[in-house]
Amino acid sequence: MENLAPPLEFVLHLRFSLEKGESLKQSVKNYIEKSSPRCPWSFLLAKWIAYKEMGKPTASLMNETNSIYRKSLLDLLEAGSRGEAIYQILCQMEEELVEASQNEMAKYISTLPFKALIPLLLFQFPAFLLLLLGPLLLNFLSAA
Amino acid sequence: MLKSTILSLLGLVIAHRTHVISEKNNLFTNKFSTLRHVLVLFSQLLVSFFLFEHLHLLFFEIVVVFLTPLMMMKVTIYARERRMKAHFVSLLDSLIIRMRSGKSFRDAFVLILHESDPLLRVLMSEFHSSLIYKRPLDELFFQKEIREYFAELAKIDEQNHKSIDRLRSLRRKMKVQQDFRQKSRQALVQVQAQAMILALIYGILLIVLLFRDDVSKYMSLIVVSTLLFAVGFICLQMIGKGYKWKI
Repeated sequence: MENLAPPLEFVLHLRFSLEKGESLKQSVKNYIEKSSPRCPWSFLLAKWIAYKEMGKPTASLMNETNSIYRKSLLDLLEAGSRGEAIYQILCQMEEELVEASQNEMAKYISTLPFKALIPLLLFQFPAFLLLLLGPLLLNFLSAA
Repeated sequence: MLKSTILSLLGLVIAHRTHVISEKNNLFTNKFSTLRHVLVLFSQLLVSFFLFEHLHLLFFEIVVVFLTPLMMMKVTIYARERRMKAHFVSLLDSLIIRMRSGKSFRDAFVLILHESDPLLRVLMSEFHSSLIYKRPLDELFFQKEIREYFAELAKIDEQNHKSIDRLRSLRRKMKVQQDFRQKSRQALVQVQAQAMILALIYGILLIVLLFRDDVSKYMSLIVVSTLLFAVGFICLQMIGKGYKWKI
């Protein structure tokens, strides 16, 4: 949760790169280089770049993700690679992604107290009980 | 007697070295440098005086003084870069305002450098010298993120075209990242604070139990309880770390 959602991170990177005057492909390549190789989103982007360079159709990549945001981003990249103007749509997508990330974060935060309760009840509470009542119980059992 | 004298002299030399390394790496501000030097040597003399009879302790103290700069360097560098991360957006704000008033990127940067707090000034002056002497940024910064931030600034300085627009777009990107990190940290800090307080209470209870006379009777109980508590503590610390975004 400490990191940004990968699609949002990507959109921020892409928008900044386009504003700097970099090409779409170059920005995507730079993002892949910067991001963690274990990230599924950057792996998907790497595949997209590879398919593009081999001249293969990229439509099959849509099935590799369930997120509508990631699918729309792939669509946007596709449009950008055809030479269509994507900057305005990218700005709108950034706003939508910020909102979606905030919603997901709020949802996660609302479940945090319950998630924190599990290790507390399963491990730490019994540990306290053992420490507090264990010696008493042992003494009682040995006396009985 | 001779051994202790030699060791005391060696202690003084190493204390001097520690001070020189700290100064060289800008671990402290330049203010009161001489006074600090005298204090370091004086404290070493005092320690040598009190431990003159205890050769092993004196040797241990000298080893600690020898290793201090290394530890301090790591801690200070981490603290500086962490502070820089938190202040980078305000640094960009100041740069934009200065440049809007007609200053070039470098002039604006130098002005901000003189006004910044001492911890940040070290990093900023290193970056400034890297701009002048074309030193690679990899040598200057340890954290990848800080390197990336300054690499962007170096590019803006190098290309000198639409600098303010580029600074603004970098600022916007950084601000979104910073806001998200802050929010998620705020949420996680509560859970971690809760874990810390529980650990503190548990630690006190454990110490009380360990000081009982019949502690050996309950050793297996203590081990099981500590293991359980440690697992719970680690689980609480892990919450939110490996979160996989769904969007």
